[in-house]
Amino acid sequence: MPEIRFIEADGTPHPVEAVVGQSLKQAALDHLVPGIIGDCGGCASCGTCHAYIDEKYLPLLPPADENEEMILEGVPASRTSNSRLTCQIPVTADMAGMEVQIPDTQF
Amino acid sequence: MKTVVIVGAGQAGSELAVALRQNGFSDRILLVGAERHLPYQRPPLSKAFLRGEVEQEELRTRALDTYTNAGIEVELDTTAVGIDRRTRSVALADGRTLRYDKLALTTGGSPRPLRFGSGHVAGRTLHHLDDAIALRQELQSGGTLLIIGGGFIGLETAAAATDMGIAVTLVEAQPRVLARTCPPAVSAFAEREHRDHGVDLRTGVSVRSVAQRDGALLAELSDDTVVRADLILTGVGIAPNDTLAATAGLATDDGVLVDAVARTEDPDIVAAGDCTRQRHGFLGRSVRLESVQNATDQARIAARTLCGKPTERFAAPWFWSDQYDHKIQMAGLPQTGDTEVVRGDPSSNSFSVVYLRNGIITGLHAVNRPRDFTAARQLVTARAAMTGEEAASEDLPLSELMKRHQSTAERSA
Repeated sequence: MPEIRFIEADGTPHPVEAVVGQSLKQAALDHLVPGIIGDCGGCASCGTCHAYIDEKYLPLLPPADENEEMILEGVPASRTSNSRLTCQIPVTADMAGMEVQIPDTQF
Repeated sequence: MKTVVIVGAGQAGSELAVALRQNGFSDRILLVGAERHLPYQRPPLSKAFLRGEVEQEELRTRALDTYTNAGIEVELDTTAVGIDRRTRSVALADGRTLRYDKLALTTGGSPRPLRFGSGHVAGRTLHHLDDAIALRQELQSGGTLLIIGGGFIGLETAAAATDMGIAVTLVEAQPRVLARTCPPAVSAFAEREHRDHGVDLRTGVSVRSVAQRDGALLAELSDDTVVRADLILTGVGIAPNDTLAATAGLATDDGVLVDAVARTEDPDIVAAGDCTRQRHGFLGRSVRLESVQNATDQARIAARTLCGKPTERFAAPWFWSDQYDHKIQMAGLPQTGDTEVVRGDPSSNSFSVVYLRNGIITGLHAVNRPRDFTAARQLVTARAAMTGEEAASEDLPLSELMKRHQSTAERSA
């Protein structure tokens, strides 16, 4: 159960004990973290689970596929080099301590 | 200690309960659901779940612990049968009553029943997890499937069943599939894809009667042909579950009537999701929407209203469907009379249809074009100006038009 820190746009931290194997989006939803919406349920159709991933941990993540790239191009908050859809990222044990910044808007 | 009772434990009910906590409500929350399952996501029922790619635990909107840890009491397998607004209580089928200070109705919808002329064999429907569990089991043992209705449920089920090796016939009474929701170019794409995958797809025909013979079902169609199938599934839309509200004297009109912040006419009762007909904050008109995005968004609005922070929504509605390897994504809710502009080659597997009204983009339907879809969602929400030439121009990414809109908006601000 790695502890992942979700941080709201206003700086409010939400430390979460995530379950290995679940998606980062589901870990946020299961712990009532505001700002991660995930309306499409995790099929990378909506882009409402966008977040900024701790740079140090980026190499641990599976790379974004073409569809995720295209959805990220259209997210309403600014897109940066560490933008990802959290529904596409399975939680692994080595994510302990990772910080995930939540954008100011998902719509 | 105040009590909020939420009747209906689907995606709207689950989101509403959680959003109450996120908005600081710290008293009692009771979430009552008629099904035996924890709140789950419905969209995969006709897609990945049917194909056996995900299991039911993975469909849960949130883990059981989430409700426990948030102090949300969940009563499953429990049906509400009446509301007494004077004593503020909900009567349950098991004889108990639940007192409330505030009540939220998230009762969802039910598949519209289809009655066939003389034979009274009703088709099955696919709306609940238990429907999907049974259908999946039967499809796994093979056979032939007749689907009545070429809407999203019918087409998604046809795709999943075909992937599973089932022979599928699909009949649609309208001249084209998706006639209620999509432009002709998208309908034509869907028809082509389903036929290419081996679906026997027939439009402009309806089912006259169904008879049962030698363990098989024989459907007689309006063109006098007969289709033999082991199983019949009907997908002809859903009706809002508004009887509980209507019986309690609340105004309904094909849906529980609510304003732009999810209030019914009773100050102690809100409603959200498929069961409502709402004044939509962004669209500015009365609509009934059947979608996850509407259910969860309206549930969050209802929760804010109950917490004394009513906020109208500002974003355009959106919808999606997956069939085979294809993504159909829709932004906005175009109306009759909007101009349709095709972007890209509609005979290919990747194109969009843009809707314009008075020089403003009102919607976009994207076939395998997530890039157009995400840009359009912002453009529609921003009510951005666009010409027909711009909408059609493949050389001009829609994201560029969004940037132009933003800089124009900044200059005039």
